[in-house]
Amino acid sequence: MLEIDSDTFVDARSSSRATKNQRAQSRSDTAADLQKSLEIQPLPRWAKGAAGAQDRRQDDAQFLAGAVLALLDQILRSGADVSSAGNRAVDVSSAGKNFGEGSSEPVFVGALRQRLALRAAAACAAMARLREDEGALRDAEHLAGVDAAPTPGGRLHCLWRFFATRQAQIDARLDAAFMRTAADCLELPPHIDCEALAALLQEASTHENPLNAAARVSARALHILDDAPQIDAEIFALWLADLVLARRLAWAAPLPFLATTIAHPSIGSATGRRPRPSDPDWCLSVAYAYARAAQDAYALAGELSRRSETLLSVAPKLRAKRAAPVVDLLLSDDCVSAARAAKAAGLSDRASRRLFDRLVALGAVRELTGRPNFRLYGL
Amino acid sequence: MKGYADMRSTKAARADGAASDETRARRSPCATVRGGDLLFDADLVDLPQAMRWREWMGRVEAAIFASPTAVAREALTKLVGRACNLDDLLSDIRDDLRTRPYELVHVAGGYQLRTKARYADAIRVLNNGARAAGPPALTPNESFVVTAIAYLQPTTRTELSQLAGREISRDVIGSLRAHGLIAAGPRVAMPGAPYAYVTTKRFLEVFGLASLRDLPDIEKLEDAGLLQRSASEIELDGMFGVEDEDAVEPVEDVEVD
Repeated sequence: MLEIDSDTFVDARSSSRATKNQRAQSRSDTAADLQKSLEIQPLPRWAKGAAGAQDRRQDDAQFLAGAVLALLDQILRSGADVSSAGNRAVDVSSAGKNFGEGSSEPVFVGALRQRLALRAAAACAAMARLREDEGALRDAEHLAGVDAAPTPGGRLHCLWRFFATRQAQIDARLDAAFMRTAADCLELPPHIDCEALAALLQEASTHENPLNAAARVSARALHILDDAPQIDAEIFALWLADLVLARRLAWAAPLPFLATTIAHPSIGSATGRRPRPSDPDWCLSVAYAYARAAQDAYALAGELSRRSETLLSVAPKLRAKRAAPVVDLLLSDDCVSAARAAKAAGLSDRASRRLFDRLVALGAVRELTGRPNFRLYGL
Repeated sequence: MKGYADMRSTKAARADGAASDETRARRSPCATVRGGDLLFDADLVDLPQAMRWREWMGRVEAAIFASPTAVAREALTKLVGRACNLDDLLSDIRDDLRTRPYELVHVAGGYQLRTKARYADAIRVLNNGARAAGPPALTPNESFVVTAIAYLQPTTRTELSQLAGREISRDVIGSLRAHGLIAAGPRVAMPGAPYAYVTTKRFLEVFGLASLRDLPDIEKLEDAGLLQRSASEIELDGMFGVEDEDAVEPVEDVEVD
């Protein structure tokens, strides 16, 4: 750690070519594999918005949302991009060699996406008045056997986790079949018009700003989803809004934003009820919700980037033979059970438990449930 | 002319029956589409407006009548022309059936013809395997348990027993599972890893609900605080040693399961 600090110090101080070359030479063996990631700074105060502001104004909300989304955008493109000049880059030297290769997303983006998905699912479960909270949703997702019937909250969670699958990548085709798969997660009635939903997603025009496009698509989707139960239609509309935003920002895959904050008391209008896509001031609520959600996501990204750096720095110290796939798994999901890691990496059950114990002892991962058994580990 | 129309309609009805049989026999969409192209005229352009409407109503009702399960809406759209508003058609059929002892209902997964609930007793008296409308004959205890599971899902037998204030036996759970109303969901992270039970699609179908949000009085129960796990309650449980019992019980559960 000390070494890294001094490195950046030198880097910041001297721009002489000679020193740089020397450094490059000294580590020429690892130079090809260097991972540079942004050090994520706390948000500037102006981007947090005035806490006591009572009057809701469209331009304020969109300004805040835009500012944070731009910062997040930078993070989401910081992965394999070695020439991120101008930023204070921190070497995660001796970092895992295969992480982030071929994509421009940072290594921890999987964990970020899935953790936001968990938050979104918990918020939606509260909206739908289900009893499941984050802990219950996490257990249902990661501890259930293959033949377990899905719980109502588990279905919601599945919808949000869908963002991390290959099908949801933005360059994949977002057609009616894709919509159908997503709608099946929520068990929407079989006759809803998936063609129309796909068309709505495609036509999100380029002249309106991404936030307005997201708001408009979610409001229009509600008409298409007329036959679905109301709360399911609303959740699906929130899901579509995130998809549209990510498409417009050209992100590799969407992040769950809107659902995480739309039900937050600070977003609602004076009446105190939750904003719905059918409201006249839906656009405004969406802008505020995105501003807040992006702030939360930014803070989470900062935390996860620090944790992933720690994890990658201890990765060479792990003596288990197949530790690399487990580290990979930890970076790409919210949490991992020892059994799942064992299966994925081909370890024995006991070996994977010992590996996780060692990771916890090294301070690289946390045990998330606080239970002595049925443990789940994550960044 | 009328005779001709009648003949035509019986022919069409036969074709209709064939088509729906085919749908039932093989689920492959390709086969039904081909059948539709070859011998099934959905649009009926040569009939006058009113007659065409009657014909469509007949077809839709016949298809729902003949189907062993609920018929999805998109399947019904194949039976009628593109110009047809299916919602209007279905509400016309409902009006037609108002005086009959059965009705057209929308359940999870599609449309179904059902005998009205008040004839359930008459149908059960015969006891010849006919399925009465409404829930299967549940004992009061069973219907209490299935209701509790519907509101509290996913929930374990221990939790149900706590709610009831008495032991909910495994037989009750077993008979509900046999009826297909509940299913075993994920296992709960408690000692013994007991199953948490959830309701199935069949539960919605049987009780005529479109989704779980349609359960009655959900807001009242919420206001009464019955649907939350309150923190104080959990602490109290610990204080009175309820947890120790819990720890023992599910272990038996596993042995049996």
